[in-house]
Order: sequence, then C-alpha cells, then structure tokens
Amino acid sequence: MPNRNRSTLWLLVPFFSLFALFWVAPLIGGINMSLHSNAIFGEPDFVGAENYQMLLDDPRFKTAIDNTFNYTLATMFVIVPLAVLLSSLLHSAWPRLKPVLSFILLLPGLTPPAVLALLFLLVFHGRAGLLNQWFVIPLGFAPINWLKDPSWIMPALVIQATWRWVGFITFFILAGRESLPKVYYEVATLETGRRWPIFSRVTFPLLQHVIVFVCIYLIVDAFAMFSGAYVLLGGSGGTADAGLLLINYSYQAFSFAQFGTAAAVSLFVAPALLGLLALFFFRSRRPSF
Amino acid sequence: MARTYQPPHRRWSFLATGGLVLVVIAFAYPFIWMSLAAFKSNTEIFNPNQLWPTTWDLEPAQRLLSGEWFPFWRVFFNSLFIALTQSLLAVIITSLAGYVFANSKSWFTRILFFLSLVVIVIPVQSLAVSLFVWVNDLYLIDRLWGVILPGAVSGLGVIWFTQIFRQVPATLREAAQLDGASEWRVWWMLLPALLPALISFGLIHFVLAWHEHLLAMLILQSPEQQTLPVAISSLYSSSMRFPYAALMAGSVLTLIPTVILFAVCFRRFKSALADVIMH
Repeated sequence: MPNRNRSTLWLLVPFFSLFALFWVAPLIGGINMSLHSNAIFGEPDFVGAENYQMLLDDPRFKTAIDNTFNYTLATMFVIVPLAVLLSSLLHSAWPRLKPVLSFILLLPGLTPPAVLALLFLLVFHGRAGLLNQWFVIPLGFAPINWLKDPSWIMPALVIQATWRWVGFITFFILAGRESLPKVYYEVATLETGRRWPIFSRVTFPLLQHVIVFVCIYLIVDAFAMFSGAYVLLGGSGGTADAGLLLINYSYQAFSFAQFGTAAAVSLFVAPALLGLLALFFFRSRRPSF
Repeated sequence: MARTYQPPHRRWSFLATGGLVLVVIAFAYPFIWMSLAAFKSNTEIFNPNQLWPTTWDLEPAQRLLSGEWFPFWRVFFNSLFIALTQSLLAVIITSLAGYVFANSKSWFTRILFFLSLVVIVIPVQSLAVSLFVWVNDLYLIDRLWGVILPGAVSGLGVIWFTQIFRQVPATLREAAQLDGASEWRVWWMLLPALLPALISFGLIHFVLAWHEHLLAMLILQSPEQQTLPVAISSLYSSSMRFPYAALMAGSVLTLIPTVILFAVCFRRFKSALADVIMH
C-alpha cells in the first residue's frame, strides 16, 4: 500500500526538520567556513583547501592526533576491563547494597563538567592533592605535579576519564549482564563450578555487543566531546602540549577566532569516526536493518 | 524485574561487597568534601586534607541564593526549563523517527537512519561557530529556544527508539492498523507500553542538556538568560577575596536535580537499558 508508506514518512518530519535547520545548515556553514580564511572583520577570502593544508603542516596538529590516539586507547584499555571487573563485583555483591553502590559509581558521570573541573583541582593539586596525599607519598614516591609535569599530564587525563566514566560503563555492562538468560548460568555451574571459565566462556562472549558499544562511546567522547578535555586543563594543551587533544586544538583555534581552522579540525576527524560507527552498525550479528 | 542470578558462595559475595565499598568511598569522597566545603572559609578550602569545617558558615550560600553574583533562581529555572523542554521535545521527535525506522525497510529510510547516526559523530557542538552565526540569523540569539531546539536533534535518541520499537510485536501494530488507525495514532497508542524506555531516554537527555556548556555559553549572553553550569563557572575567575564556599554551594545545587531524577528513576532506567543494549 503506497498510501500507508507515505503516511509513515510524515512521522519523520518533526525530527528531520529540526535536523535540517539546526544541524545541516550549521554543517554547510562550517564547511564553507573551513574553505575561507580566518577573517573576523569584513569578508573572509575563499582559500579552498588551505586550512586543511595548514593543519597537515602544523606539527602541533600531529601532536594532537597522536595524543588523542593514545588517550583513546589508554582510556579504553583502562576503563573497559575495570568496568567488567566492577560489574562482576556488583553482580555478586549483597543485593541490598547493590543499588546504592552502583548509584554512587554513577555520580561522577552525573556531574556537570564545570563542577568536575573544581573537584579535579582537589584530586590533582600539586602537593596537597588527594592523589599525592593518599597514594603517591604513602607509597614512598616524591609527590607528582600532575598537571604541570609533561610526563604525568596524560596519565592524569586518563585517570580523570576513568573516574568520570567507569561508573556509567559498569552500569551498562551490569544491565546487559543481568538480562542474560539464567539458564546459561545454571548449565555452566553444573558443568564447571569454577568462576573463571564461566566468565570467559559464557559471560564475556555474550556481552561482546555491549562492550563494542561502550568502546564506541568512549571513542566518540575522546574525539568529539568538548567537555572532557576542557575539564582538566581549561582548554589548553598543558605543559609542552603533553595533554593537547584534538578537541583542545580546535577549541584554541576557536578562541583565537580562527573559525576556519576550528571548523576544519571538526570536519577532518568526522569521516574516520563515521567509518567506525558504520563498522559497528553493519558488522553486528543483529544488523540494524 | 526478574530475580538476578545469585552465585553460591557467600564468602565471595562478602569479598566483593567489601572491595566495592572501598572503591565507592573513593568515588564519593570528593562529593562529600565538596558538600562540606560549602560551609568553609577560603583558607580551609585550600587545604584539601581538611574534611570537616571548623565553623559552619552559612553566609556564602545565602549570598549566592540571594543573587549577589548572578540572579540565582532565575538562572536555576532557565536551566530547568531548557533541560525539561529539550528532553520532552527530543523524546517526541526521536521516538517518532525511531518508530518509522523500526518498521520501514526501504532504502530511503535506511539513508535517513544513517544520516541520524552522523549527528552522533559530528555533534552540533563541533559546529558551534557556524551554529552561532545561523542562530543569530534566526533571531534566536539570547533566547532559551536558541539552545533548546539545536540540542533536541539527538542521534542517540533515534538509535535508542529504533531498538525499542523493534521489540514491539508486529501484531500489535497490525491490529491497530486494521482498525483503521493512522500511523500517528498507532505511535501514540504504543507509547504507554514503552513508558520505561521513554522515561529513561528522557533522563539521559535531561542530564546531557543540563550539562550543556558550550552552546549555552555562546548563545545565551545576558546574565538573566544564563544557565546554571555556565553561571557557576563564571565565578571561578573572581578574585581571591571571593568566598569559594559559594562556588561549592552552587556546585552542589547544580548536581542536585540530576541526582534526584536519577535516584527516582533508577530501577526503570536499568531495565530499559538492558532492553536497548541486549536486543
């Protein structure tokens, strides 16, 4: 029935009219900006791909790409195993305490970035910060200047990302885990009473779907979200650009009114991220369509 | 909700709970510190090892609430209005789109579905500059709707509701169609059954909208149009004589609405999340 088909499409109108108005239009504006010079006053000149060429020639852009790559990998390899571990612990914790415990783990994710920035000063503060006072000095090391020492900026960024997101990721994995059919576990417990084989042969394979999903989330957060990087270093790259992520790079270009450059940065990484997302959606066992 | 699988060993359960309690203390400590810091003097705040205030000073919080630095309640309700209307709008438009994507398999809707994924990868925040220019052309600058409307275009919502509507038995929809209901009406009739999913996505979107910093900072310029996180962070740059306890009090108040909402909807959120990510 063609009639029915057409009436279905009407339901898309509200979403896609806002989409066209507040996403496509700015995107076209952004592409246009990225092809023009960074003029604040008067008409910017058309420069073609010059902004993109400038990015490729800028060693800081290369640093930013490297850092973002390392940061993304590090956050994934720290957060995901930790979240799997925490969700296992939560899964077997006392049922009465379970909601309270998982809720407190979520708190950092519910906190606005502006407030997080404040809390991180407390944690990462030069000498008197919590990390130094509770862990570094008691373990017999010299206090670390987390936010000034170039070799510790990246670990500090990874720690903040872990603290911020591990609760959410744990919650995702736990929700997935608790919806797995109990029968699998009953059989597995009969087959082998041991915990590790049950985890590695039953739980983990069944949760692959969720784990890929959370990895995608972390990647998009690392590449495209403004808040994470802004929180700790206030948008700068830190000492010797050791904490310079792509998003700070774009933000800096933006705050120096180099709008063309800023737009070019966003558009530069978009295709790669899009490819990744497509890979996830069209690869999965249960395809989206 | 189904009872969860219980492992047989009590000792393991004891260890797991003990370990978690330690982790959770480390997570909660900064928040406890922040709440107590709202009553401290500046010297006490700059000594992060001190947890309890020596004297409980209510004055900075009162000065904040009375609007000494920015019109606090006005700004608070701006934030609330933006987050509430934006999440309501996002729930409506993305659930409509999700309903279509879950039920239609034509190449045209596939392309549209893919386009809504692109929104996740290129968030409107990364187009902030051109969005600012464009919103200005639309006469929405310095208006709450200038932040609400762009934020409602949520790619995440489209995916969420596509997954949710795919689990609705096709017979339900066909029965309604046989009765002559229009697509709008079928969508509307399915909503009550999907309430947990609607609430959960609304909740996620509320949190995102409440946190929105960049767009709010650019688009809302006059002091009485600001949102809470932006107004709070503008206090940072003030002088050393500024009572930081007020900043802490403001931060706690910024957290409270999202925390309360989450606490209330926690169980529903969890079961809806399991539906979305596992199916």
